[in-house]
This record gives sequence, structure tokens and C-alpha cells, in this order.
Amino acid sequence: MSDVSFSVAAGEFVAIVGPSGCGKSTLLKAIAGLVPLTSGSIAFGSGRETRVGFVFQTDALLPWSTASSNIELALRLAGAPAAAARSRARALLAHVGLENAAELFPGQLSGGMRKRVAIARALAYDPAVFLMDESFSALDAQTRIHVGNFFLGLLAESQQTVVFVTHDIEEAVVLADRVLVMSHGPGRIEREINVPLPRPRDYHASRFVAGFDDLQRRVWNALPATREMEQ
Amino acid sequence: MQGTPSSQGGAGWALRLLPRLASWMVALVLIVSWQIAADTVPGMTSLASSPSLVAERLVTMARSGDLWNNLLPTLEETIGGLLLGLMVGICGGILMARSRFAATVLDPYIIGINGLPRVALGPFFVVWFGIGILSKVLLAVSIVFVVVLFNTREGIESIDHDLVDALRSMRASRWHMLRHVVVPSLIPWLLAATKIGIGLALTGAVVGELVGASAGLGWYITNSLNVIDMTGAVTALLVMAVVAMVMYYAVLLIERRLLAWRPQAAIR
Repeated sequence: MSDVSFSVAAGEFVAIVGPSGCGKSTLLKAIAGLVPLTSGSIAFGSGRETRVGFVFQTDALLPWSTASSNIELALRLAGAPAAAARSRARALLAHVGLENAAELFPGQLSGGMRKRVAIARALAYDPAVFLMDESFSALDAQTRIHVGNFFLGLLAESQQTVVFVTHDIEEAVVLADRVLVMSHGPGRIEREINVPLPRPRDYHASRFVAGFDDLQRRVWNALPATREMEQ
Repeated sequence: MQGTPSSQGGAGWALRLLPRLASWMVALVLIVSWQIAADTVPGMTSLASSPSLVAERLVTMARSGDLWNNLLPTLEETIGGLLLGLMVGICGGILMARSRFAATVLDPYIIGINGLPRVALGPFFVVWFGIGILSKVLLAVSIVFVVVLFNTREGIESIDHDLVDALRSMRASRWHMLRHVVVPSLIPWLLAATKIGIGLALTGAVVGELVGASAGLGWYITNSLNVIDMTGAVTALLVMAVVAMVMYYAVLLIERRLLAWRPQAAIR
């Protein structure tokens, strides 16, 4: 990656799309502090170190911990005392509609349920920003719509800031306020496209509103692979 | 799949019991055939004793204290060798997984030790560490630790990257990483190594006793055969099998608790 520079406003939803290998996942991990920077810097409004809620493509839940324990751990790591973590975990599980799954292990839950637990865990950590790496791409089409809408509803309440990496152009447009299109070799931001679609949005239905097609086309045309193929 | 709960429950109960029953039946058939062979084939008892003779001997040994006096040292050596082998193997495995330097330096020696038939070390260990329990424990350790070390390394290699990243993104300390990711990831590997290790530790202990000892089940076998007491030798052998089985089932019980989170195996 070289010369990648962008900022995200508080409460803004930024999606990053780009071809495989352009470094979009690495960028996300760099923001999370999971990979060292060779040069450059990352700053948060409140300083250089801020809590991030990372949601992976896999659910990345501890398979040996129950749904509740997984969320409790995030709360404990965020500094909550044990008893408070316990009751807050229950409340979060209820919030994502999984109050009955508290004592179940991830292996006993469906893919969509696991994803909701993973989102609840990210919420529990009380992050300044949600970092999402193809978070919904491993879900089947129907579950993806359910979880996507659930997530949009959650955001409408919480006004979370989100950076969402995806290879799915429609998903990027339907979710984001702004789409960053990256290119590879070296990875850089090719274009920035504002998405003025009205909110509240629907993960599925918003794909049929006026203007969606045009936005989707603009993102598609900005992708380097498209431009290379057309040359 | 329809049926009243009671009829389903009844069938399930019988189906669960059936394989166990069959398992006991196999034991019964073996014992009965052994007894018949001993009773009908001339000279058979001097070659393989008989169930009735062994049962009789077990009672005598239990009464005289011979059973306990020979079982205890073997148990101590086996469990001691297993636990120490686990410790050495885990530490070595972690060291070699974490440090490429250590892995490069130690790998040839580990591979060398692994290829060496370590029962051949038995006589050496008895010369070096005496005819007491120490030489047997160390022999057991030398066999057990390699399996544990390999499993520990493999276990560390197979730790899920996303789990590590998830905890790191939440700024987990090293302690939390160890407690919530590393140790639970290693447990299935260590349980597997322990199950294999039981038989290996027993082998180490008994080979040590065969070479030179003053008590123990292995010593009891050599001692019995020296005076052409086949019943004594066979009795000690069977006690060893029981020791191995009891230890294995104990590990299985621990496993059932520790791995309760695991979904059913994909391939059955």
C-alpha cells in the first residue's frame, strides 16, 4: 500500500471495495493495530489509541466459551467488573434477540446467530469504530439480508462509526455513506463516491430505490479491474 | 421417527447398552475359551496358565500384599513418567514453536531421539540412575515427551488466527491470550497425547523393571518366569492391562468435561 489517506467522520459509514490483494483487509488490520505500520500514521479523534470493534469474516468466537462468556470477555477486556459484565452480556444478547442462547456454545448456534453474537461482542467492547472485514460474506443470501438489516437497525440507534471492507459492490452501496474504491499494485484509494441514498435503509429493498443503479455503476466503473478489462 | 416418548426412550436405552454388552461378551468368550483350552490341551497351563489359576493368584496376591507392593511402584513410575513427560513435552513444544532458533538447534536431536528405540536405553538408565523408581520414570519420560512435544507444536501451529486477532483487537494481555486462546486450543492436542502417553509410559516403566528392579509388575513377570511360574507372570500382565484401561478411562472422563463445547465429529 502506498499513499492511502482518508478520514472518517464520527457516526459515518465508510465502505471500502477493491480487488483481491489491494490491501483493504490489511488497511483494516492496520487501523485495528493488528499489523505494524512501516510508515504513516493512524489517528482517532480522541487520540492515537482507541477501542475498535472488529467483526471478521468468520465469526471468530471462542468455540470453547458460551455465547454469554464470549461477550463477557469483551466487557472484561474493556474494564468491566465480572458481575457487571455478566448482566450486561445478558442484556446485549437480548438486544440481538439471542437471550435463549446465552449458555450455548458457538458450535450449537447457526451461522446467522453466531454472527449476531460476534456483533454483540464488538458492541460490548464499546468501540469508537466498528471495523468489519467482509463480515457478512460467509452467510447464505437469506441470512445475510436478516443480519444486514439487523445491523442497520443497530446502527440507526447507536450512531456507530463504521469502516466496512467488502468485495460486494451492492453491499457497499446499500450500507455506506461513502464508498472508497481501492486499486492494487500498489494499493491506493482510486476514487471516493458519496452515497446520498435516504436512511433508514434496508439491506435488500434499498437496492431498488432510485439512484442505486447509478451509484453501483459508478463504483463498478471505478474498480481498476473493470477499467483494465475495458482497455 | 415417530413414537411415544417411552418407547423411544426404551429403544434408545437398549441401543446404548447393546454395544457394551457385546464388549463384555467378547471378554467372557475369551476367558471361557482360555479356560477350556487350559483344561483340555495337555501342558497348556504351563504355557499360558488359566483364568481360574489367575483368579486364585490374584486373591493370594491381594491377601499377602504382593499385589499392592508390585502395583504401587509401577503406578508411581507410569504416572510420574506421564506427568513429567507432559511437562517436558509441553515446555519443549512451546519453546520450539515460539523460537525458530530453538527449533533449528533442537530439531535434529528430537528427531534422533524419536527414531531411537528408547527401550534400548533401559539398561543404560538402570546403570546410570539405579534400580529404583527414578530410572523407570526417566525411561517413561524419554518415550512420552516426544509425542507431547510434537502435539504441542502442532497445536500451537493450528491456533486460529482470527481468534488471536479478535483478542488482540480488544487489547487482550498476554495472560488473557494464554488463558482464553492458547490453552483451550492446546487442550484437545494434549488430551490426545495423554491418551497415547499412558501406554507409552507404562511401556517405559515396565521395560525398566524388566531390566533391573526390586519390585513392580515388570519385575514380578521376570521373577515369576525365572521360577517357571507362568500364572504369576500372566497375572501381572493382566493387572497391567487393567491399569492402562483405568487410566485411559480416567482421561476420557476429563476429556468429556473439557471438550463439552465440541460439536459432533463431522466424520463418524
